Amino acid sequence: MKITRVEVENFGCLLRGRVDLGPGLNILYGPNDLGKSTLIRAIRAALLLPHTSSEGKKFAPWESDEDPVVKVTLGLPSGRFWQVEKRFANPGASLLRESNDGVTFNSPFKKAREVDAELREKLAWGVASPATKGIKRGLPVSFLSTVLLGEQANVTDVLRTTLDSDTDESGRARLTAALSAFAQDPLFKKMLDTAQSKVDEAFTATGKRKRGASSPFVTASEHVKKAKAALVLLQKSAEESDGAIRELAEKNEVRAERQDALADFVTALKTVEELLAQQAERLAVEKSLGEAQETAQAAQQNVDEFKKRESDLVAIREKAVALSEVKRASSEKLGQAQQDLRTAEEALALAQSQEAEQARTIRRGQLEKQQLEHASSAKSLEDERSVMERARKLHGERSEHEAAFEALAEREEQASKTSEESKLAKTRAESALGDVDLARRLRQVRDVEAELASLKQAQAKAKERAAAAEAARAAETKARRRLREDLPSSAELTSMRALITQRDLAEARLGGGMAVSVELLKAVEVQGSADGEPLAGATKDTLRFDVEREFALSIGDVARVKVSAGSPEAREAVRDLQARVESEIHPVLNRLAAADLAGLSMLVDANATLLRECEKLASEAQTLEAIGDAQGGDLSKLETLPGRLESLLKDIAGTPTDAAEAVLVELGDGSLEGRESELRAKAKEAGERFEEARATKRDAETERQLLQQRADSTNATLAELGVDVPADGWEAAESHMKARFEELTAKRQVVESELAGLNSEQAAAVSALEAGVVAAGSSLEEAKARLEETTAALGELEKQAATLEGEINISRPAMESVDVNALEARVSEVQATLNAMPAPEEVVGGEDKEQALADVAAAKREHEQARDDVRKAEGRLQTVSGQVVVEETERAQEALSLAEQTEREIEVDYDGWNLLVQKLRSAENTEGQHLGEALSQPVSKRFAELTGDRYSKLEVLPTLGAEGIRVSGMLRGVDALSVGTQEQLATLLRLTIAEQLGATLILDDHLTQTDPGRIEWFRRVFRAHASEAQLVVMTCHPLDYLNESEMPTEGEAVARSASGLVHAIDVSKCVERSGSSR
Amino acid sequence: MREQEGDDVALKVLHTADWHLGKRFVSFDEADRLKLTRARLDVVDSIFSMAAKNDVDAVLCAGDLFDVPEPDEIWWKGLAEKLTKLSWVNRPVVLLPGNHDPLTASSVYNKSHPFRSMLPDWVHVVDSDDFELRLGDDSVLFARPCRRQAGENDNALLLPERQAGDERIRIGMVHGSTFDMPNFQANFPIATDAATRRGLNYLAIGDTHAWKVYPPDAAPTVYPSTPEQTSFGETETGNVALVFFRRHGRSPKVRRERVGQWSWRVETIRSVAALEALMTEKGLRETVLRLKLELRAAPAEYEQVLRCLEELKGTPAKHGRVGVTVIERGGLELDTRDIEAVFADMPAVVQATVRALKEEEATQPEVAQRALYHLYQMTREQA
Repeated sequence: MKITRVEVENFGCLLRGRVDLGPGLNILYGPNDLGKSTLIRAIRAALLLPHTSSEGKKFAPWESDEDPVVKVTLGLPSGRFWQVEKRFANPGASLLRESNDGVTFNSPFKKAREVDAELREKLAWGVASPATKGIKRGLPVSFLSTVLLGEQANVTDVLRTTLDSDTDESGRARLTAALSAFAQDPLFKKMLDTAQSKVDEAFTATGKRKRGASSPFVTASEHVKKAKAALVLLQKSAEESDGAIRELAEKNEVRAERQDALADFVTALKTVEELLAQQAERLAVEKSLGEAQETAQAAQQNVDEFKKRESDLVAIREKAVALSEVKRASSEKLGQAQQDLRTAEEALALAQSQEAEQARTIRRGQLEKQQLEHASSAKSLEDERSVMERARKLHGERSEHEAAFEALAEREEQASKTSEESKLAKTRAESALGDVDLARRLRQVRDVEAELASLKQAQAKAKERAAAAEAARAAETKARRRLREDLPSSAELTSMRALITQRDLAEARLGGGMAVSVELLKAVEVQGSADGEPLAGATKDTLRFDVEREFALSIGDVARVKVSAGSPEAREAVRDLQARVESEIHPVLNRLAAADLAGLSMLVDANATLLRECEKLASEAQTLEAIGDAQGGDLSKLETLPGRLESLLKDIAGTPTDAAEAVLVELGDGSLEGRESELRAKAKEAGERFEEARATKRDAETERQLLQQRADSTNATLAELGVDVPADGWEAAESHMKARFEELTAKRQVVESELAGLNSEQAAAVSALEAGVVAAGSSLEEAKARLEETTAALGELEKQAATLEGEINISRPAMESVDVNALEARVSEVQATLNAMPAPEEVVGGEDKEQALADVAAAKREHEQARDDVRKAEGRLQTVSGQVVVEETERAQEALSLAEQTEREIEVDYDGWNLLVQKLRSAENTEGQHLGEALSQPVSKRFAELTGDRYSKLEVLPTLGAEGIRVSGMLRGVDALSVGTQEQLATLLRLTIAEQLGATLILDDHLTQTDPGRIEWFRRVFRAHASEAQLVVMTCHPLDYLNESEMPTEGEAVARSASGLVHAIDVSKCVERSGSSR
Repeated sequence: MREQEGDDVALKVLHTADWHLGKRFVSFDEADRLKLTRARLDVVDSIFSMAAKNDVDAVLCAGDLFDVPEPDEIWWKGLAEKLTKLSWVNRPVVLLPGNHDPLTASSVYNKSHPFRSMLPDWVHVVDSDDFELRLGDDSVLFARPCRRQAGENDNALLLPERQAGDERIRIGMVHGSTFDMPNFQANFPIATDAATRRGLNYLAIGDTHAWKVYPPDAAPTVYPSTPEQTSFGETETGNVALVFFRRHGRSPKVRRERVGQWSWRVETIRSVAALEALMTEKGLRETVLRLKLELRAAPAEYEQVLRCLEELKGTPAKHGRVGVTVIERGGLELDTRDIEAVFADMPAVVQATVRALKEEEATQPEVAQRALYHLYQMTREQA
């Protein structure tokens, strides 16, 4: 950074002033008390003092109340310009403007305190920003501000100042960077440079992290910020979403509870209504039942009455029949009685005769014969009864046998049927097993076929892949043939680019930019070139042209002029670099027929692309070959599978496969083994059933044979007995048999009785006969009476019967239409309905229903409220993102985590570089290669030269404080030196530092105690310095540094040397001092 | 031809879901994001190719086809162009809005959106709640779209029920979470027996990125998985479902087919040997690899590790071996125990620096180790 202009107004003793400074050496001269030091103070104030500082009061104009103002224009290494303007007042101002040409400035881009912050950072003099906490107000002092802008009164201050006075690290860092050039170990220096360049990428000169757009921290930090911001937004959205989901769940829960409650109340209402309905229904059914019962009872009653009448009629008729019988019997009895009476009268007459006795004897013989016949009949009857009982028993047995036969036949038939069925089932299962086996073989065939097809397909694909691999290999070979090996590597190309850049930079450092004007004083031919381009023909008397670096003129045969811009060292550097370009790059370009590096780069890129293509093709081929190798093993089965398939097909050849196909279709993917075991189980079960049925049949046959034997025996006996089952049953036969017994007994009793009678006395017989006659007479009378009575009763009964029959005939049609059964069925039906009705659990009333209705209404209201709440919650849910935002939040969290990791990685990386630089410098200090050492060498060398090797070495502390001077090996403090030598040493120290920094150095009457010989030495040194950096010297003795020819002419304020590096400035012509006129 | 594909097959469909076109992979590097996002569109070609190869009768896309309801033009236009190029006629493609890309007034599925006007007439968008599409003579598709990003209704149970006498093959398509999934309550929950309850032969669903088939076999509910994985930790991804509906009321056959190109892996590296072994693996070009480093390495090994990582991940100038690499190097430490020996031949000032940095390890180990490694690297470069 260079100072190009200083302007003041109302600044201390100066009313106004403007000094334009050039690059190189600027000698500002003028008598004492002109204001030269005020100009330096103004520069110092502009660069370092905040306008708010009370020290600004010191700059108040001597003869006015105006505000002191200073403007300093700075030329930046970038080619742009800054102008600092400060007005020291209350309120004052600080403004920083920028310009491309140093003439026209834009609006201020910094104001107030920001101006000082910006300047201090740019200067890097070890002065902290005014915003730094704890920093002292007033004019800041640092090592470099003392070196570069020291005050006139304290020219040797630099010998007593150290870096410890700095308020930040920027000065140390700048010095460290600059002085490291003196480090002894080139490896160490290179490492330090590399590390420092990394540190510079990320840290400011003051050691703070850079916050500009190019800062690696900023990029990473921005990513983290963005990721955080995105995450926060998503989390908020997710929280809202969660809240909405929770709310909806809660509302749904409430709704469900309310719905349950409503359902409970509705159920309760329904129960009440059902109970009420049940009650009503039951009452209705009970009423129906009563009515049905009444109807049925009435009908039954009528029917009963009708039937009673009918039965009464029947009874009357029966009674009439009985009475008719009685009447007939009575008539018969009457006839019998009349007969008995006649018989008794005849018997009596007979008994009383002889013939009667003979008759009795004959009769007795008849009776005794009858007695014998009766005894024989009784025995026959007894035998007959015995046979009948046996036959009855045998017939019973035969019936049992027949039933047993039927049961056995049924068993046998069942067993036969079972046997047939199970035999058929077994056959079917065995047949199905055969199908399954065939299906298995079919499936094997298909599997093998499928595998074979798949393998053939794979084989085809493998061939395709092999062909593709071969093609890729061929393409690779072809591409590799196109590869050029004569091209430089990327590193070499980079190195070439760096060389070109170095050359361009070196050329840029030459400076230049000249306007050349040649005035021809007489006609002469002028030819020349500017920056290698031939000049157009000269005009008649004037030649004007602009040139950047170099021009040459041939002026007739008078002179040849060649002018090159830049310092000798810079030109040398350009020449060196140009030579390197010629030797290192141009042959390569020529060899490869490349126009320039861009062309070469295209060739290299094209070759790299070709190489990548080769690698890609090789990779593709390798991948295809690897796949082929991997599948080689599988394909080997292609050799064995056809044989296997043939064998399988042979196995099933000629066998119908329809059933097996059907099995496979039915099974689908199902297991054949499962079907097989199922069928085997079925076959086994059928076999077992078959055997069981056969055994049952055999048992039944055996049993039937035994039974047949028994039946045959029974039938034989029955045949022997010859007794069939009576037509009207055994009971009737028995009754008949009993009746015959009774009849026989009665006959025997009559015979016995008659025999007994025959044996009684004849007298008794006569009297008995007489009594019999009487009795017969009596019986006759009784029979007559009885007949009359019966006849009368019969007449009455017939009368009753006729009456009843009439009534019955009248009622019959009505009775026939009455279906008592239906009425009873109706009663039963209604009764069943009533029985089927649940018994009432509870008796409810209308008030219960009203209460239940009220409960339901209240529950409905609550449920509707809950449903509204749910709808609202659903509405809210519609506005959130649900699971989507949850997923996005997870991604954002991951992104943040990775961004933080990246940021941390960058921080660690650059912190590592920073720490490394710190430790390298620290080690450098402790190991002897510290800043002081670095500075000591060039200063000591110059000082020895200046003093004729009187002093061997200046010892400088690591903090750059001058420790002392070595004299004959002994270290002596700088105070031991003379004042003049001290100011010379101080000047050398400042000059060396300014040289290393490339910074502007301002010296204000610094060598007042120096003898002319050493002044002359300094003059040479200053001029040499002018090619490296700007030097501003304030002096009362301009000729100490300038030749007479370099002084401005009368009327001119500034004279610039031909080289442009020396500027003589008459300050008296640039400033107007208070109280004087210019 | 497989046995499912015989005369027995009445209808074949390809069921896919969760394409997430336009998904931004924010946790990846810019270049990797592009690769992964682009892969989502590329896999659509594989899906359509699979559909054509198997000569399916329809392609059912069960939601979340776009990552957001209003994707950038590149994604909807890209999809529309792919569909247009297919020139299918008798193979309908049905697009269902999911919870990521719900049917809203401004979404890509809205009738007024230019996406719709670009679609061929055989591409159908489920843009009504009573969507019904005949697929052949005896088959029908019912579908219902998501209309927002969150919802508590079971769209499957809102599909029409099978009526008596309806013997057609009935397919349902909805998007949402089945009841066994986390946070299903507000993510359009789907009852796992919804297919049976609505009398469907197949319920095609989307949302979960893993392949999943719910019984019964006669009416399966299927998540076909996302065709390209979207994050680490997902499993069973990269598939579509080929569904063979068979005649005579037999259960449909569901076949899982892989279409995804990318596979995602997480590897924890605990030794240099393990890392070197990884380097020899093939087929990493289409792998998304998360490498977690958990090892302590001496400087030479450390350098080897970094070299391997660079080769795996690549540089701006050179492609890496792995398609996409995420490196977590927090667990990588420099073993400094014998580091002095490494610098034994260096100048004294360098050795002093090494000692100072080793002392610094006590207070800031990570930074000190990094500084030591920088120093090591520089000495190697200078050597």
